[in-house]
Amino acid sequence: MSPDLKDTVLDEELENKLLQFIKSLDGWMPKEIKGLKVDYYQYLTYKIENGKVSEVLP
Amino acid sequence: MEKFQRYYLSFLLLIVYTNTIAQVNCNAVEGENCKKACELYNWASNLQGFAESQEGFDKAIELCPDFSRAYMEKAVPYLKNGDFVTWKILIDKAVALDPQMHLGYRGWTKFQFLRDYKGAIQDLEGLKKYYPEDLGRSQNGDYNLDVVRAMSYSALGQKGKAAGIIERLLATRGYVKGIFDHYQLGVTYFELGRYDKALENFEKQSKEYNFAENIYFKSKVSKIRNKDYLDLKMLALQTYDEGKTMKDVYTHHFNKVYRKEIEEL
Repeated sequence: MSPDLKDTVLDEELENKLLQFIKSLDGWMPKEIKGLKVDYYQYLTYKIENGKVSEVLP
Repeated sequence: MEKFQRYYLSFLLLIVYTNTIAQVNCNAVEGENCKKACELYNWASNLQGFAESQEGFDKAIELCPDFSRAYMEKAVPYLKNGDFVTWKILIDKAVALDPQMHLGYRGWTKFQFLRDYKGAIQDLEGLKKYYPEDLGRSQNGDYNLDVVRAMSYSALGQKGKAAGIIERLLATRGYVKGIFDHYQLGVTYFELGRYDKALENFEKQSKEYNFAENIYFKSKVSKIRNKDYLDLKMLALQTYDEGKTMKDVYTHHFNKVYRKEIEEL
């Protein structure tokens, strides 16, 4: 999204860097419900200002 | 009753309340089609996130294109799934149809999910035209929306303005304090280098509801003042491990502190 919250195209190099960073994370905690491991997802939101990540939201 | 329990009880009541207000009294809606749309909306709101719920909102919009609540509720699952672009298109439609009803929610969401501080301020100041005395609460019930406005100014570097907004609120007769008000004000004063005022607010926060982040900042003040801060640091870590931290179901709180940061103090 652009700063005015409209659909936009992300810089390819930055996009790849972020993707590689996310893939390098290894702290995923398996979730269990009543003793059974379950599938789940989590998205991370990156706020990017002037080409730099200024905030990361879980 | 313990203050902590009292807080959770009021939070529980708030959840019940917010779920109740999502339902609309359709008898008060004018026009046959809009009445039908309203009933569909009530039904679909109870199935949030399911395909049939989204289809229900679509039908409601088809029947009554000016029924703003249908756009707003249709937008919510997109927000929760991280599809902010689609969310924005729908929530903008709801706001355009009824700004008085939806500006507060959009402003809060811009702050909470997107850290769009300028956008949040714009919406919340727009809301002031309709509710000059009291902007109401954030969707999660933790803050008065004026505190959200203050935090947005703080994030943009206008710390003095932010502190002024919260101070005025706290001095307002009948103001219902949010659970993190003194903490947020304390952090703002800390960032301004006004450590006496910061500590005063962290102490007030401790008396109402204490948590790891608040203790961490008290420890930071002690360290800056060359006083013993290690006991407070250990207490912050212990409190963190007990799970008494700032929590949010969807994202993390403004001025949240993680364990690693406490360890590194």
